[in-house]
Amino acid sequence: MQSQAKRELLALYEEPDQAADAVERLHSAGFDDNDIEILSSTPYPEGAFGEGHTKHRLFAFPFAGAACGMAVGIAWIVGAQVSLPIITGGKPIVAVPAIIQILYEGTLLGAVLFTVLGVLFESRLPDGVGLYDDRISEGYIGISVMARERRLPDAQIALEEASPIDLLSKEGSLMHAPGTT
Amino acid sequence: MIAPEAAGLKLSLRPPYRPQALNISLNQAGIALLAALGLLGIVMYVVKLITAWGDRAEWAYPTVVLMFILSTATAAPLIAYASRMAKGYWALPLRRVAALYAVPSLLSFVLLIPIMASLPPLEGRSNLWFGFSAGAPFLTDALALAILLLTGMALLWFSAVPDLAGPPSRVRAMGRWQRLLYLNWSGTARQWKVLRAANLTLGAFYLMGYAFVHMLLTTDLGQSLLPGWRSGIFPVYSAVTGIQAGIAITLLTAALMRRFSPEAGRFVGDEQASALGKILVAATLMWFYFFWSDFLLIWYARLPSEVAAMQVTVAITYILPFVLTAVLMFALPLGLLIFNKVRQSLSLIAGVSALIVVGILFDRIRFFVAPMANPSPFGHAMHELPAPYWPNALDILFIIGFIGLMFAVFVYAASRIPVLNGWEMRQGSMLRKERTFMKTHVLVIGKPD
Amino acid sequence: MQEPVVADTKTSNRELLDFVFAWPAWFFAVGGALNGLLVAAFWVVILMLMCGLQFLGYSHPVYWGFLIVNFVFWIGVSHAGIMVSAILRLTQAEWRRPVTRAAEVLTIFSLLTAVQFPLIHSGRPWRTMYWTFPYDWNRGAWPNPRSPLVWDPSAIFTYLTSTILFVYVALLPDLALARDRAPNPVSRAIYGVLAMGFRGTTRQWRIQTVAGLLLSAIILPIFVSVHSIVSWDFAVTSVPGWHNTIFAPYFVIGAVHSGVSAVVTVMIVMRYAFGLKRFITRDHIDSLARLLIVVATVWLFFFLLDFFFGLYGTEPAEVDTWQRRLVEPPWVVIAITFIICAYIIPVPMWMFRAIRRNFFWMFVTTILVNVGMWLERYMVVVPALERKSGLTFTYGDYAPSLSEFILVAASFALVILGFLTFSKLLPIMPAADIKEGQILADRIRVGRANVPAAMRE
Repeated sequence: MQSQAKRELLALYEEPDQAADAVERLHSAGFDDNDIEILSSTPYPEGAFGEGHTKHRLFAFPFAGAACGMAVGIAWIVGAQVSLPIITGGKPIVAVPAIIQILYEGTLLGAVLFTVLGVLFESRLPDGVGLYDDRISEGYIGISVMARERRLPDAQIALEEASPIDLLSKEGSLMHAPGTT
Repeated sequence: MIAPEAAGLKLSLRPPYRPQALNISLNQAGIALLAALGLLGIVMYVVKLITAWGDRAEWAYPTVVLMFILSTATAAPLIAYASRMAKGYWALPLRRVAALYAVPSLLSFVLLIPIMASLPPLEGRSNLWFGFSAGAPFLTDALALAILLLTGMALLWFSAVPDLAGPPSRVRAMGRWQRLLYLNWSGTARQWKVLRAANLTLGAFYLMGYAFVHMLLTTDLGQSLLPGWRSGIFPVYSAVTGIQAGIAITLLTAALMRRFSPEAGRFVGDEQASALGKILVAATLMWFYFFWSDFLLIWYARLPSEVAAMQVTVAITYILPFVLTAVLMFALPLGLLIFNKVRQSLSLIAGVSALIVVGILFDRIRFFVAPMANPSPFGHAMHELPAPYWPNALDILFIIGFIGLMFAVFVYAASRIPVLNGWEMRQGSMLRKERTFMKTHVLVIGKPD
Repeated sequence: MQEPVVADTKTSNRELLDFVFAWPAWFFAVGGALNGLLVAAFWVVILMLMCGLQFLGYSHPVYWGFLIVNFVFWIGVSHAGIMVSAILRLTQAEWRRPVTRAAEVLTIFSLLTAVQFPLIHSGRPWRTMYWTFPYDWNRGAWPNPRSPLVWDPSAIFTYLTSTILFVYVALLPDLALARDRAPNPVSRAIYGVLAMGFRGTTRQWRIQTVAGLLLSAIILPIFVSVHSIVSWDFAVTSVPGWHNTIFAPYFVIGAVHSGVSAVVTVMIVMRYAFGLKRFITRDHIDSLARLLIVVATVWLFFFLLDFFFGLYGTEPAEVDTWQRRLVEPPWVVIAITFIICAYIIPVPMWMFRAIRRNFFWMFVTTILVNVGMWLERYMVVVPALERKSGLTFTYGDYAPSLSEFILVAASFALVILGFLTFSKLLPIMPAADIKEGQILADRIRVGRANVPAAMRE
């Protein structure tokens, strides 16, 4: 069973081109985009590392949120007016033009809240599982690969061929310091 | 990323490439139809002049046409100006198309004269002139419109000269006045610098003139003839919805250009639809915002004189054109434009644009027919709501004919002046390139100061 | 187009986080002074709650004075953040990068400050809860959603919530950066929790980009609605001088004018106070000044529309109000000052490139704009109330009191303190965004010229 478990390797590259090279080698070694993560301190144009298009459903979230926000808005505005039916300024108890403002705000608030939830969901946050190294925020590019135990050597070879400055697993660095064996 | 083909990147714009004017002939069915409509417009105009001079109600629907032209043709050149200001290179293939609408805009002046002649005296009714008597509103409005139209023509001409002038030897061979008309163009660095500055300065004046003319005409031909109607936002509403329609008519023209003029149309595509589509969404939302800011205040404050005016233009007398406006200028376009697929396809967005162009006609009907046809424009409040004034057969023929004339003049202008702005497109192609970045392709856009 | 910021990632990180991890002496001095002002304002509020609104100098018919003027002013300033940030994101303007965060943070603290004033002005702040929220189930007293005074809280609450979330989403990568560079385990843990484990995967960056555009598109309509609704507090009434349909767009564009000016002021201060000279350049204030020329001119046009259509009907009450505003002392002085400060001095100066690219003059002119815009709000609010109408039988004179001045000064202190505290705890410049700008920067060669360019996906 242990051979079925996946383990993660993280290689750090100084140059983005080296990282792109590593991704290409991983693809050649049979790893697909689901196994590979590219970690960087800043966004690069999509496909810069040879990765595929990121699919997401973020656009659906604001619509769902807007619908919920509007429903809640209608419920409380109409409820409040019907619960205390006092005519003011000669306007009807449920005066549509007057309540549109609050409905509008409710709708947009719902859209924003759901979009933010969508951002977290689609970004797979909170995330405390994956390998990471502080040097990534200094500009190094991290290439992480999830591989089954038996494929781990293939992944390691592919990553090392692209000349990383370090190669990490959960246990620590797999690279030997210069001058050691 | 916009496909390089759509961005015109794969097309060589280097000399000897020169943009061409449209090649038109009366043998083409569409051109013949436009010519016939244009002729009808001229005939109907003459008929009105002879039979209805000084009769304000008779000029109600021509006023609608005047405001329609001011809100479509006159607004379109703003796209050329704004995109120059914002360095929006996506608009390069559309700048000349938009600027060319300055030519049919001239028709608005032809309409303004008899309409102004039918206006009642200012005394006894609300107006913006506050006793200023130097020919107001007749001379002032005519002067303001004339300056706006001349600025539009200057914008068009200055930007077209480099394409029309040809080689310096040709210009040198011209007569003195013709040479002056062609700005003695030889393409020196200094001339290019002056040309760019002139385009930006004239554009700024055009924008200010556009807003000012809308303020004057929406008041003198609208609010001041309907007692109780006092809305500071209406001039802005008119100007902004005009820009919405100006964008729509430019997109519509671009789609037709692609369909019927392959030579020019190959440069126009989804990139333009996508960029203008975003602005069209904003303008469509603006329609609601300005309508709502107007409506809510009147509804809430419940001042009888203002409510009566609102009942005329929105709720009772002209409710049908109002509903059509709301559907054609707001509900349907917004419902369609929120989809990327619609916004990013020139063919689909042209369909939406057509709705807006029709919608603005109904919008101008609800605002300008009631004041022009109002038999009692004096005082500060209406005692009873005026009856609706629907168009008769002559009015309908006038509307169709004159709007046809507007498009006929545009097509004629496009047959004399190239529909593509060759020099700006050449400049744009130098400042755009496609390149490989790591493992992907990107578009690189240069923006010099 | 602007030249991109040139610095390697390590240098960028160090300079952008410098103020976050440092404790300069001036921070304590300035913070202490600002807190002193806030304490003074706190006592004014306590005294006002004990003595009533007359303590501030209010009496019939003028009950809306500095407090409401200040409320409108800070709501106005709050508009800059989202406007600048959202529009520039949507238009993919490259020069936006160092500007957006500061503008958004200014929005948050301006809004939070603005909200204090109607609460204080209510005289019984605790009661405002059941005026605005439908929670008082037992007494059956519900808010009246037909009132603009309920629209206001709903709009401001939406705007504030949205802006905070917008900032937070954009802050995630920078929180991760702060986590990685934190000097001690405690701050590392706190930043780590806030960053939610952000690692900078391609998916996370992609979602960041899309979210920036999506949230911008949603927040823009909120931003327009907020100041419109504030304007309707005035305009839906039939008070002469207030009831004009142009009020909503006039308030919105005025807010943008004052807000963008405030952003310029803040950026210039940040440049020197936080050592961000590399990131805030002359190009940035030049671009903002160009934007300001357009905004100011539209604002002037709307002001003139308000004026013309106030007089349009020649109704005595309207004419009387405008006469009070523009002709009678002391208003005439305020009117002249405001128009000179908000337009006549700054806009012609901004026409000159040398001025637009001069930090000192831009600082001065943008401060002038906000002096002018504060006075403009004062001129909108008070003279309309001062007019003696037929059914007004008791008149009290209104003159701003010392207490009101203290409250106004404290409002500035609160915004500055909030901004300073944020900058102390979190990166005030979007580091990832700035670094992305460096990656996407390119050049196009045209003949001998080397034109700055940017890559687009």
